[in-house]
Amino acid sequence: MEYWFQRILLILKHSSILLFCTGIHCALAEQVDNAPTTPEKNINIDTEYFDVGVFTGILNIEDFNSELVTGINMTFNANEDFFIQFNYLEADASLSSFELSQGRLFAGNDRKFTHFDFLLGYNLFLGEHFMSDTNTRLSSMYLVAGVGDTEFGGEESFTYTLGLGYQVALQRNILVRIDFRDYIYKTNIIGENNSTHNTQLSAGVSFLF
Amino acid sequence: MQNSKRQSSMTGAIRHFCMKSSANLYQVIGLLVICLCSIPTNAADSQPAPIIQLEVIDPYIELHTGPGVGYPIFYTIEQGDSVIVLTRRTAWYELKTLDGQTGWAKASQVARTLLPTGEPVDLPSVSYGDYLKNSWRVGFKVGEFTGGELSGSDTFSYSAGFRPLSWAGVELEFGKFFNSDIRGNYQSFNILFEPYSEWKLSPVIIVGKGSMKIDSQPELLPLNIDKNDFTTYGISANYYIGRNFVLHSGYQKYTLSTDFNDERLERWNIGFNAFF
Amino acid sequence: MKILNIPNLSLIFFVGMIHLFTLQTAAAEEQDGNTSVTIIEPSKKVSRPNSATVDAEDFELGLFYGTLSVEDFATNPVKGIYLNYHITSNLSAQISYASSDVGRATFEDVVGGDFLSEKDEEFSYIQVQAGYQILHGRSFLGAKRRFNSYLYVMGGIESVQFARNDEIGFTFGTRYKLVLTDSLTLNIDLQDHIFEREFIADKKFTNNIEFAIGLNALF
Repeated sequence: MEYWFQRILLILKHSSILLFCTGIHCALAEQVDNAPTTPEKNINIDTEYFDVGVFTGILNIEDFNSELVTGINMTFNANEDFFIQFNYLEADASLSSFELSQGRLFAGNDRKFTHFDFLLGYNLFLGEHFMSDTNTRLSSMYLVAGVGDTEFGGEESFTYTLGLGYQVALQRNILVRIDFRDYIYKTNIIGENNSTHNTQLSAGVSFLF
Repeated sequence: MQNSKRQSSMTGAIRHFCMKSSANLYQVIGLLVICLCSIPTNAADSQPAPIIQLEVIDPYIELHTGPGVGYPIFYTIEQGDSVIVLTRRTAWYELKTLDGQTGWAKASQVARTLLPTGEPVDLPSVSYGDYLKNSWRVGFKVGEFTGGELSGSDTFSYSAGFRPLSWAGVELEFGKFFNSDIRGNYQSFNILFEPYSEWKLSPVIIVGKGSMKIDSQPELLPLNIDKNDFTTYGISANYYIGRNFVLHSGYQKYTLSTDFNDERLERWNIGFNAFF
Repeated sequence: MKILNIPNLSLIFFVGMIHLFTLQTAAAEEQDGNTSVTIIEPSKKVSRPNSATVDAEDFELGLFYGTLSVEDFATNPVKGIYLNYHITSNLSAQISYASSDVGRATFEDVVGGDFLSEKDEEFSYIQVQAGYQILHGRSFLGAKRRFNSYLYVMGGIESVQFARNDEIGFTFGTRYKLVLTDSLTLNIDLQDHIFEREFIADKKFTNNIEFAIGLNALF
């Protein structure tokens, strides 16, 4: 196969998230440029499918310290019950108690815990809640499960993610989320093929558009 | 026109971003900011949002307090009344009556009313394929290589694509695979055919071309595969959950052209796709 | 708390209307004594979902089960018991006890020694917490089921025993409470236990994330 084709694919490989954004951009362009078949109207109904957000919290890395984690996510609401979410997060692992006494196990870039995943979410409870005034806020409690990739300690591991979370729409477009996640993967940093559970408690804000 | 100018500056930004070797957190945030900024501009560029007022042709429309079947119904709009369509959230529309009542209605209940808008409508006569014509798809799959040199490797992939026809679509897929001492990734361009897209459970035929690269080899017995192109074909079953969401499971065969001979791999996978 | 809330009032209204209707039809039947007219009454079965609320009950006693991740160690199941008192509609106080069997850290297996005795491998705490309700409303499960639900912000202090430490720590977290029936509630708790711990000559503040689901009886 031609080299040029390979090169194009390699370039596109690093901009995978880009396709989500390009999709949104083009979808909106499509709505304006491609007039629907009925000749009399060119209708754009405002859509609210995607939300993009940031989150921060605490990550308990198994056998290591708890660290501050920051990340971004993008969610597509497929229907009232299901959504697909992409998460990317980072944390810097400081020296654990064991490493302080026995010597560090790895250094430099290996000390960065990076993880991304694709999750399927299920809205278990949809709700309407009030703060103190009479305005109703839409909310939901959801479960998530999915797969992804974790890089830590010089290893790159296939990761399962399970989680639970709660979101409230503070304003029509602004969502606040509280999440619990468990990242499960096998590691060889300490011990042989150890299945680790790394839990995270985080809070985040998303913008719905 | 102005739209295409803005689009080309966007693609310029995309190309610049692509040249960088790795996407770290700040680059990703920057990219998202670019996307977010481009969207309001694009919307503002088009005509000012028209007030979409329609006459209700459906027998009745129940307004819920939120976009979900559990939310209570607080108002019922009768046939012949006028409604203003405000927003759409996949299977729900936010409607406003002329006396100010605002609520959410199921897409299936407002289907006939929406016919003049040209939007795909959720009528039983509209097949899944026709509803999803001209739609974008995003999704991910998880699976395992069961045959060939990578047998036993876990793999996941994510994809984005477009479905221009009710029975055919294209997608770009990026995947990674993991085994005890093997790591690698692959990317492919796939074409999907779904001839019976009016069925809730329908078969899909996938053909594609791509390339695969091994990042870390096992120490004792290195693999025949290093960095190779492949062609792939497979079959999968799409199960439509609602109009915009699909659960699919399938089988894919890969033929890699290596230096010595053709390497064959098999992959089973299960995944989800969302359409918009 | 309130008996005269809207679902109750509507129920009373409908029951009243049915009574009036049946009375009227009965009277009509009596007047038209000669012509035997059978008036067919529509069976007005108004099934108004009357969601369970926490009315006059002040105390909740419950058991919970979940996971606890201990810093430098692994994630293990945790189980406990709690007693909750509703001071006002917005404020509640809770006392709880829980323990988790943490087991050895992976490096202990690798190094081949036990840094902790078995008794010290248990993470247990006695905690006093206050909860402040920030959201109240209803949650829907599918199309049919409705529950009153609340979101609380929780914070408290605790006495933790682990790894030969007996320290005072503090916690913060959130609770999502669903009122299942008039006497049963479900809590989904997420909290972070922060306490200063000394282990193999390293003294530091540790974060230990807990996720638990609890079932309470109201009384």
